[in-house]
Amino acid sequence: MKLSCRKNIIVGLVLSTAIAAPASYGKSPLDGLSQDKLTEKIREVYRPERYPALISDINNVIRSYSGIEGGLTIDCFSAKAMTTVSYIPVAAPAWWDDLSETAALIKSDLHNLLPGNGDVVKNKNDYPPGIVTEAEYDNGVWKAGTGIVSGIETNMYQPPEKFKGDIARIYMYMGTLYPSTLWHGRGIMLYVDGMYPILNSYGRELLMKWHREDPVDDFELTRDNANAAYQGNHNPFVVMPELAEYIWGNKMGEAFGEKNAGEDPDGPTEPEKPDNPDNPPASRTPLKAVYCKSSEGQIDLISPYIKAGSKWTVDGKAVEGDAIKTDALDIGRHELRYVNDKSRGRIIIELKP
Amino acid sequence: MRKTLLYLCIIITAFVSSCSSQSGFEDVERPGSNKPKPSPELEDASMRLVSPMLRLDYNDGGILFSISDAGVISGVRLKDESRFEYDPAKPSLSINGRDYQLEEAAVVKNEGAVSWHRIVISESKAEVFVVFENL
Repeated sequence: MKLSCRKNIIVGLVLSTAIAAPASYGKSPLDGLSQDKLTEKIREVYRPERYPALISDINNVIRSYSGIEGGLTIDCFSAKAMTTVSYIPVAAPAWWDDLSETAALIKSDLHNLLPGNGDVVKNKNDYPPGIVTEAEYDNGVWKAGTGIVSGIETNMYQPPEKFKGDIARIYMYMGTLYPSTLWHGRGIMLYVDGMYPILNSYGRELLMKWHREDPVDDFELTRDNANAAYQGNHNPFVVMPELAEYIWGNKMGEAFGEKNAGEDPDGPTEPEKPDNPDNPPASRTPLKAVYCKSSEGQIDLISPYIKAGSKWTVDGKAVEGDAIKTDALDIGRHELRYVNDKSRGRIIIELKP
Repeated sequence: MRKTLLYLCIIITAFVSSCSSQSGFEDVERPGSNKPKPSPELEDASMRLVSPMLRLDYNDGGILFSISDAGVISGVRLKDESRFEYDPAKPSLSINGRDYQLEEAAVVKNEGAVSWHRIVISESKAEVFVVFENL
């Protein structure tokens, strides 16, 4: 999706440049894992380091990725400007046991919050997502009403077409990060009790469809980076979209990463898309020891061991953003250093021809 | 006669004491002393973890060394996630996720920004060195 505001276009262009990684993941802590081991590792690696304690903290983050001139923010559910920041939880907090510790956390997890006005709060309720067949509310962008879930007519909402992939990846994130042993309310229409496989057959089919039809774009990456800068964690289904296929899709049951390490003699399973804003790159590669200049265009300064938003230097020179073009570096060893408000550290990487 | 013998004993004792204090053997380790033996690890200032369980050398590349604001030193080899975490303040040491009970933990040398931490694990008496350059 594209928002018609200058700021977001600029941010998007900057990001699309910074994240022009090839469609490979390199070494990841998730590599080689499948099924419940994979989701367990995601919970370990991608858990938030902190949650916003104040509404103003949430507002500031939302403003940082959806703000436009004049102090307005864009409502994802109407594509119109809002004079004050307002947001809604995508996965309804009512689905979790209200007495659990998780319930309090999910209410403020930034990855679960999207800019939306009071109409959304009122009409979306705690409905599950789906295809609405009888609309009771319809603003031309999204609607709420009734539809069919697992053969039963029930209340549901249908998100904006331009955000259905974003919303699918939010449900994937929320279910994986905060699984429940006993889902409440309408949560049972999407999720299954327990740690794995998290989504029921309806949820799996619907979310994978939306995930594929609406791939990650610049706005979603901008939003994910803004959330990560505050919370210290990315939504793994945004930064590694292929991950969903290994849990619920065509590669379900296969070990993650085995065909993504650039060692598959059959080549990539899908052709690589050209680097342009309409086809944003699919993934980013966490820091590793060795890079190949001819096949890797950049070094992504991200790692599950380093807080997002850290300041970096390469061989003593400051880096803007969180990626370095390999063209800017000579063949050989380079020292990368980072610092953030909690720690500092360094690593030597090697750039080969 | 007894008084003479007493004086003789005092003189002999004083002589022996003075000889031992000038013998030049002060640096020789005595049996039962807790003073650690000089280790060749103290001659090498490169950042590393040296232990029987894991060795991580920063200069090998691909190894992230870091220190938290609380002073916790950690290292991880990215290709296989072999890692350690050492908190000199507690002190505590974990290697590849396993916590070890410590018998000794001390900074045995400081030189510029480099500090040498010597740790002895209770169970195995294994000696561990964490050498960290705090820049």
